[in-house]
Amino acid sequence: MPEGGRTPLSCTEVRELLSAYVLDSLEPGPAVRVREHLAGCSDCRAEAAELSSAVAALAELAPPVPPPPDLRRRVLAAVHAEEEAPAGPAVPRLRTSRLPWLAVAAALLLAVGAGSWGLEEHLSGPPPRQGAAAITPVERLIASGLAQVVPLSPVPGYTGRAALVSAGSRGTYLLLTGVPKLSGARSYTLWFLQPGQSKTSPRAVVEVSGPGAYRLPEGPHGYGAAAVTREPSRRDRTPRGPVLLSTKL
Amino acid sequence: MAIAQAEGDLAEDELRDTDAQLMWRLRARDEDALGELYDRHASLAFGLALRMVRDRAAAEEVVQDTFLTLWRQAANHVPDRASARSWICTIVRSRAIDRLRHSASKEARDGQLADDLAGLCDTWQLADEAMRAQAVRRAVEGLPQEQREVLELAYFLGLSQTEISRRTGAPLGTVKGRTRLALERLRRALASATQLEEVEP
Repeated sequence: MPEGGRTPLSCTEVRELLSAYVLDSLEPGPAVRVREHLAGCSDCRAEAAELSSAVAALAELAPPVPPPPDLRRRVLAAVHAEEEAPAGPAVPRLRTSRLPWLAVAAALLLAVGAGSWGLEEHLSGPPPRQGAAAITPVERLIASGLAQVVPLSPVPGYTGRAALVSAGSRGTYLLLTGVPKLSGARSYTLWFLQPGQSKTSPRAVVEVSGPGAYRLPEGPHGYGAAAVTREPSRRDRTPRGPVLLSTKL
Repeated sequence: MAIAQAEGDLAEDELRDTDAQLMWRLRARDEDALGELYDRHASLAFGLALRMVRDRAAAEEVVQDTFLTLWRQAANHVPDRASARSWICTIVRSRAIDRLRHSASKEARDGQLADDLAGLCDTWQLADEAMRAQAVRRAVEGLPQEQREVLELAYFLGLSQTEISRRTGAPLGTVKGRTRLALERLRRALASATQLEEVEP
């Protein structure tokens, strides 16, 4: 596939390739283009989901084989060891996978957790400080299902992911992952935009230099949209860098 | 007959609920729940891993990776959408393909797994495991030989369309067409198998 061939695929073209795609049998080039199409097409996504279930069913063709008895203990020991491991300053579990964002988006599509603003005392320890990387508590918060999670959509081809996690009295957080750490004065800046006045006066909410979970000074209530840009310098009240991720609120 | 069928459905529902409940407990970081899911699905996972990587030690590692991944990703599982069983099979296959395709970058594979899991749903609900396996086998046996072949090469050996074309000697376009026909036909067959079970026990 030539590098230049970047015309978006039509639904018809995607349907031709979808079976190979869900089987993970498509070459990387076309697979990327199918993925891009799926990101913006719910019909093809639904079709892909149904085909995926047929793929998952193929597992039944393999005859079950009891694993060695000792494997169970090893599996549980590995999980236990991971739970016991002290959480480092920047726990990178979210950083290595795009899964949380996709799944969070899927969950939102299903309206799971919508309106669940009231957070009960499910978390141990104090809430993370503003600006401090604290992925584990926020991750727990998401897992608890008691926080409202709003993913920001990346611009096509961008691999970073971000979401706003609102947990009532525990505050609102920006989760940023899959982005390179910036040096110098450059920053990822989260902006809130008033409804209806898209470019005039966005509010810079937080400036950060890399992946992590950051407590926000205010929640997104009353705003119409949120966006993350990469800014050449901090303390600039006007966005100048490219928009990387955005969402309507 | 009607009563027996109703009882059967109830038992299946209970089974399904329990699996879903275990996934909820997993989300709450309950290690015992993982043990129970392991007891229930490890043979399936190991059998699939073994069929794919064809080496016991490697298959054991795949199963271990799978349950660790399940543990880490449980928070993203949407109950009612896909069963724990489908999730586990999807992770096993992805981890097995990691091993079959040494060249593929870990990141790209993680991305693919993410897509697979996020999109996964069970459109057919034959909860009874023996019945499920039988329905799938019947559906696959009903496919024309050349369609069955592409499906098995892609699924169990993790071959790309180009690799399948090379191996079978069929032109790439033909392989793509067969893949499409095979999977769409399989899906229809599974859907009608589900309906059949509902109508006539």
